[in-house]
Amino acid sequence: MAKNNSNTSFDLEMYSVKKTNKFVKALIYAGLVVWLLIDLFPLYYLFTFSLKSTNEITGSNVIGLPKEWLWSNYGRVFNLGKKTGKNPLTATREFFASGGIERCFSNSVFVAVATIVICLLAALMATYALTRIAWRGSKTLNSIFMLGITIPMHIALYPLYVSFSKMGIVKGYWGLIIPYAAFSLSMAIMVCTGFMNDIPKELDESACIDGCGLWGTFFHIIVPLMTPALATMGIYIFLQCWNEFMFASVFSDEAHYTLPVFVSNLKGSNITDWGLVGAGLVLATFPMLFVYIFMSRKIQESFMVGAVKG
Amino acid sequence: MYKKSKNLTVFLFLLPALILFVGILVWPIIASVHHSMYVYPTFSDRGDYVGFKNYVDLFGKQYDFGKAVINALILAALSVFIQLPLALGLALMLGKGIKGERVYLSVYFMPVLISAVVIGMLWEKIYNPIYGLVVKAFEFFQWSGLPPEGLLANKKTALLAVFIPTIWQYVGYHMLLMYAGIKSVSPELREAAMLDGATDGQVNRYVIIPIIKPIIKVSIIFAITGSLKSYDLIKVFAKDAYNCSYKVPSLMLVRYAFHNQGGIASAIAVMMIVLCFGFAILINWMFKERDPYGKK
Amino acid sequence: MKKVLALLMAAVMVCSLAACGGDTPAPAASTEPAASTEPAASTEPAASTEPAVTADEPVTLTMWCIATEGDSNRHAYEQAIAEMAEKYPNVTLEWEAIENEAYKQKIAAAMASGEGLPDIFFTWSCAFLGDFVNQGRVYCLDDTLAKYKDELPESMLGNTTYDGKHYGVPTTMNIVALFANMDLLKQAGWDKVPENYDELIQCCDDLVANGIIPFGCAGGETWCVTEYLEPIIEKSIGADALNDIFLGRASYDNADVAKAVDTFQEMIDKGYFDPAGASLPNDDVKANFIAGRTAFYQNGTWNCADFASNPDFLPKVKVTEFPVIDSSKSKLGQLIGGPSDTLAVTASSPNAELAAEYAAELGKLICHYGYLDGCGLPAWIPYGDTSNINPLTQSVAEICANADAYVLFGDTAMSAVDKDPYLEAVAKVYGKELDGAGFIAELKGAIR
Repeated sequence: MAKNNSNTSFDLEMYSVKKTNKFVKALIYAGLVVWLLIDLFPLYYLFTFSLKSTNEITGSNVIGLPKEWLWSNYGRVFNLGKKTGKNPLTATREFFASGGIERCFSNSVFVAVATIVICLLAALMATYALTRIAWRGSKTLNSIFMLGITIPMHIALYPLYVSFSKMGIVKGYWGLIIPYAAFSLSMAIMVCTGFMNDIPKELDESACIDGCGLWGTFFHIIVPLMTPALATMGIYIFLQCWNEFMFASVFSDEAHYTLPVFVSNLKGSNITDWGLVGAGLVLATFPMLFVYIFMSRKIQESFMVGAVKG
Repeated sequence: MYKKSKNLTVFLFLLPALILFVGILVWPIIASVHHSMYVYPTFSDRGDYVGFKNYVDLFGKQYDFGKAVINALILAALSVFIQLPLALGLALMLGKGIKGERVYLSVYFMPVLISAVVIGMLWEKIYNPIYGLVVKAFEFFQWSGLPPEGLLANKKTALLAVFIPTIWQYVGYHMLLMYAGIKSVSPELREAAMLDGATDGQVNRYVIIPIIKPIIKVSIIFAITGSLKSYDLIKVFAKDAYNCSYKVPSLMLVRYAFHNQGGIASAIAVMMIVLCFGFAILINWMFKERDPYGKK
Repeated sequence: MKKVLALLMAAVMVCSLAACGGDTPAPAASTEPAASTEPAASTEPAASTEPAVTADEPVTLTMWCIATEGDSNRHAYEQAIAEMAEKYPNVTLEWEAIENEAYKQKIAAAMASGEGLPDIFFTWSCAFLGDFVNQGRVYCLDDTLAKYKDELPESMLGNTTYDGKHYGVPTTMNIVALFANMDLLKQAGWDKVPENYDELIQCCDDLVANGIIPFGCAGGETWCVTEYLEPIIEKSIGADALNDIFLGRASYDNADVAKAVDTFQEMIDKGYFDPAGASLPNDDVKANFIAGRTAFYQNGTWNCADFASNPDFLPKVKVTEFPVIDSSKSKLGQLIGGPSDTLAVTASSPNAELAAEYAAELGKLICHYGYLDGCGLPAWIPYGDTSNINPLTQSVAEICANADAYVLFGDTAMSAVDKDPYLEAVAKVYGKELDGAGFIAELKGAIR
């Protein structure tokens, strides 16, 4: 485990640059910078377009900075979706009014966190049973779990909708959390297996000799040692469910909309107020990117370790 | 006694995962196979048993599922042959250790975090045939050849127009996977090769790439299955999805599921699973054949 | 105005609006063993229990609709709901507006399982609602609507009547109309809207010659293409023939349909249609029309509200109906449209009876405010001061007053199963992948 972390942060500069000739180096930088711009430009476009009037967006000033910075576009986004729901008199008093963007954001956070917790727990336990306890069929079961990685989520939409509504969990958080957790499970088990293989088997054995038992070993040895891995897996799962749209649009009602549904509702019929739409897109996207800017090293590092394990 | 309690423990450890896996993944597959043998006159009421007729119809003229599969395969091929080499190139350049490495890395990965719905709506604006960035760029450079109906509506360019935002979003993802692999290559190995007089290109070709092969394999599987099930972005572009330039399996599945054709939708679901599995197995097999040290 | 309305009402009564139900049940309804799924059976005519208008224990009703922020009907819904809150202080309405396409999926899925349904839901009439009625999910409104006989003409209920039973509260009715930007027409030398087909073609040629694009049509949303294609077919083959085809009484295998499709494509070939429209959503195409990029825009008359609310644009725009192409088969006054926007009540609602009454009152108010806004013509007999109705809606009322026959929008008239191949073929026609012969060949096989 520790060995791997040191690898990823290894400084390679001293080994490589000396033989590269200047021209190739310039070319490499040019390539990298071009792709950098390609990545950033649409975001710049999105941001500026959120501050313009429809008139500027649709012709008079497509690429440039806004002539007049219409921050009011943002103010109007916060009014969206709020008049619906309950009686307007009481709704204004609720800070997270049903259907408003803050509500959708908090819904997204809650769904993602709950999915991560459930999926991690299930994956940790399953991986322990699959890799640390010897029993016949563990290999086969593991491969069956791995097949799950390629199963598209769409196929479950209709069968699940029918059974979930019979169970009465369709218009709520669980209707999203359970499928998300299930469809992230295979990936989580795969990553988890990689990490768990790094924990020396001797630890289990000594724990066994100390009379820990399987449950004791799991909770006292494996879980603490797996803590660094949890971040990695958490991010994997987070990426799977944060932006999911199809289930979110069918399995939730207004009180449980997630951000992608909010965004698609921006496109309600007949809206031509593109500045407002742009502001909505920015508000749905940029908080995530800010978190990423501050945590990018952590996110990437755990991501990279996970990839190598996979 | 010990044996029995161990089996019970194993079962208990597996229980949460099994409940999720069987309940949410396996059961819908079985249900889909079952549904696909029936017609559904209304959304929920099962009609007559028709055997494999739905599958036959699916490839017939009316549904033209073949076209959807071909479109998905074109997207998959573009992903594998354009997106992954691009990701590999970026990863190799960054993996060598370059000033500002972290900045590049962070920015490249950023689009992965954005919802495909947002990306779709953003690129819809970019492609707008009247005031979009693409048409403005063509005007600015005085290029010609842009179809007047816009890239999204032209039959020949529609898939390309879907593919460009996909690359934009996911190159960073694959790049990061590969970069991680490259960084895990022992520096001594690279140094040794350099000392033997290998150029950068040779180091990449003969040292780095063979070592990160398992990661490339994973990337290829993700890229292909991802293309086969791509939905959100295409859904934004295709709007009501009657334009057959955008015909892809997932779009058809959702449409027929909600238009009283549960049998056809289920048959599509089954075909999607078969395709995804088929490709995963095929790629695993291809990499095994060429790599005698297979498992790593 | 009053006179026009009277005329309109009279015309509507005479015209055959009973496209879906009435005495001739829709094909979908007749093939279905509908007797087994009798939604009204469980709910006795409980007129004895006085409807709870007075301060009873508080009730919460839920409603789904498509009046999202920015929808032309939004304002009408908000006003109507506010007024309902005063009228029914004990009822809390929790309503949710969902984007059109997403709504179609959501309601279909919910109806399929019968779980998680709201008490009241927005629906399109005819086959869309008919599918749900066949599933036994819709509450029969016969008892409720009986009380509103004087306010809601029976002729407006034809599209929501199945096997002689009423299932929907219509709000507004709309037709397809041709909107013209007179400023642009003037630039091409036209002071008036073209009155017949030859004039229309001449006008388009003049517009093209002056560098003005005649039509804008959103290829991104196929229903917008049907707003062009259906009037062209109707004005070529006649309303009755088209109605028979839509309702499955006649086949698409009709050389005149092929010819009409070819007419449409000729117009595309001659550069009458904005090529940029092919990939755009309807919002953009409409915005282009308002911005003066295209001279004509053919779409539903609910657009009157948006045009009327734009004081710069309103003086420029005129509304008319698409001219007759083949006068031996069709004539002016044969229109596409009819009452379609409808509120209905789910059979599973725990307060179905109250919900039914609430829906009827709400529908009446939405109709009232929607009419004042110009969202369409009223399905209910209008009341109050209607003198400020915008001139566009007034012109539409005049067109309807002279109506000869209505054919409901194809995608509303057809069941979900038939709609798919139809819309797919229409999309292919607009994309030039099918010509007239190809269109009828593709559809005669696909649609029963």
